[in-house]
Amino acid sequence: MAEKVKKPKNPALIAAVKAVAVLVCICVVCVTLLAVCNELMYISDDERFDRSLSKIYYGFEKDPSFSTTPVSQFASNAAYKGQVKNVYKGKTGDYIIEVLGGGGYQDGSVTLYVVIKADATIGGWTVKENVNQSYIDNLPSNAGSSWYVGKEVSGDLELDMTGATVRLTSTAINNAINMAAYYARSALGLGENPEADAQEAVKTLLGEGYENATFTNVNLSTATVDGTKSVVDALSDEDNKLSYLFRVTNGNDVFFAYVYGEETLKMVIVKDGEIFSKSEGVSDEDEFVANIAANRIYTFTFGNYNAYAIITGNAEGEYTVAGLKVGVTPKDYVLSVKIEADTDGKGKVSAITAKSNGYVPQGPAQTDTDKLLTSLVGARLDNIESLYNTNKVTGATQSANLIRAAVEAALTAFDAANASSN
Amino acid sequence: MKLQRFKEIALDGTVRQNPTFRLVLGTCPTLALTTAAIKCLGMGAAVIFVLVFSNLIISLLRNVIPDKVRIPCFIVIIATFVTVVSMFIEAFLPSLYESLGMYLALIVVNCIILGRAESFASHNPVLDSVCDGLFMGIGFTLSLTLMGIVREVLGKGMLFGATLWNFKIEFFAKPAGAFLTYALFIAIFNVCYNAVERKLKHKAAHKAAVAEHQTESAVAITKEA
Repeated sequence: MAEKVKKPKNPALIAAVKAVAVLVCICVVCVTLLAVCNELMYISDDERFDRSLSKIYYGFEKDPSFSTTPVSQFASNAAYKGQVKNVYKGKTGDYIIEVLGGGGYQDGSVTLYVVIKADATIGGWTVKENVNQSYIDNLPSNAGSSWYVGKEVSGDLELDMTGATVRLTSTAINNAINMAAYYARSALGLGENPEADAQEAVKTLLGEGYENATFTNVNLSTATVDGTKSVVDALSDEDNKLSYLFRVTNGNDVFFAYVYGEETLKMVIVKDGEIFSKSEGVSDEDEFVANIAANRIYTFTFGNYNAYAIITGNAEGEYTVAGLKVGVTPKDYVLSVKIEADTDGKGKVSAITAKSNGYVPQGPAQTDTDKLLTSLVGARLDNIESLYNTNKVTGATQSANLIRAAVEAALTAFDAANASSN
Repeated sequence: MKLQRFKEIALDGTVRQNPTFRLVLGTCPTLALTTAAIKCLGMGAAVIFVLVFSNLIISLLRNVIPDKVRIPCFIVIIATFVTVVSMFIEAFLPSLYESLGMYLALIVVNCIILGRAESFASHNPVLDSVCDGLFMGIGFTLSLTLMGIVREVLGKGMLFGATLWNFKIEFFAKPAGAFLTYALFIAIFNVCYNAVERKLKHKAAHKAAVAEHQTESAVAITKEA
């Protein structure tokens, strides 16, 4: 019978197996230790909440019957780059709002707990977490118990941070505080709510069939019509400053509602570029009414983007038009668009010149954006979509959308003017 | 462990191989956290804990851990202790946890810890390694706290959070001030260290010369006799 031959052991394999085994054993022991420590030192969400609040509010007892989920209609507001995450009601009637405010350093954000007292004033705030705010430690230690404290939530709150050296982080905090104040007056019914009052007044002016109309606050204050002048400035005069511009719809019709004044509201409602309704005491001769007619606003939806365009000038078919994006990062793209009548009388773009650009894409995207301007020469309302789809810009979608909105607005205005003259 | 060996390790950790001013290790927390002395103490305590326990375990396992996987093993052990200390500080010292921020987690990649594991704990007995971790940590803590005191007093007019006066040079509280303070401390520390070392060497040489002279004299007297 043949003897069994023993295979020689491979020392490299043994060493490798031993190395892996040791490493695995160490990992297992470490994981076990960490699991035990985690069990012993776990911090619950309630504990974290109490810790954050302890700096500004003692003895907050939650009302368990109150839903912490924010009302979705008021849970975000582009004007403040803000978002309400949770809302807690105390047994005393005070509220704690967990709110995010954007616009900070490196476009980061802060998340705060803001105390809103039952008397509609701010009771304090504390930072829960932040994104990219490297210098947030430079805020004074008493900031949360002094800045904004005692101020009413009825209107927009200005930056209340004397001596702060963290300008951009302060801006994010200001946005978060304003978002909390907005939510408190809109959803919780605390303090006065001029925006809701203005919306009610617009509904009343529109009359029957608009009781459930939805409003979008077209916050255009940071967008410009010529690279320098803001949209609000273009639509205001010395005595009447535009307070709100709402896009109103009941599902069928779309209106723009221009609201002027704070105590006595003056309203102008525009549909398809024509004045649809005015509040009492507003006449066609008023300067701000003339401003509305001279600066027509159009709205477009391209995919997920809502773009606006405002025409501020028309000299012999050469329109000065700004494509505007509202939202978290408002942008503007101001163009001069020359339109000529095509053989069938419809408008056709004969030249486009970029006048100013509130958003400059980097590198190849800028070149592509310039190409898009050239490729839209010859566009008509009936072929602009296909021209755009062929030449749209990858990497500068927002700029491309604003260019398209501006050109489309100019063509719409030209065709409307021609139709009415014929 | 002999007393002489203990003294050597203690002197190495705090002065001769001071991790901050002599070896220039752990620069990231040194520059970032020295705006306030209390943060330095907190960071120092965390580093001492991690150094002592990682050195202890690595020294215990030094004959078991294969050479080829030593670095992953060291990192796993160090990361475990950093996580433990991080959990502890978060649970029981929340204000310190907030002020240390991400630098607490970054202890894992602190060169001092891995450096001591690699160069000392993996070659020396347990007690020596624990002492090395302890004194290296103390050296790091003292250096950090000293810089923290200077920067806090000059940059904020405060000491351990208490206001001393209104006079302050804000430059010292800023990152550029951290670099300047660090450079000055390194320069002063090394000038003093070199001066003391020269003096000690000179003293030792003098002692040796005297001893030699005495020996020669004794030999001569013996010969004469």
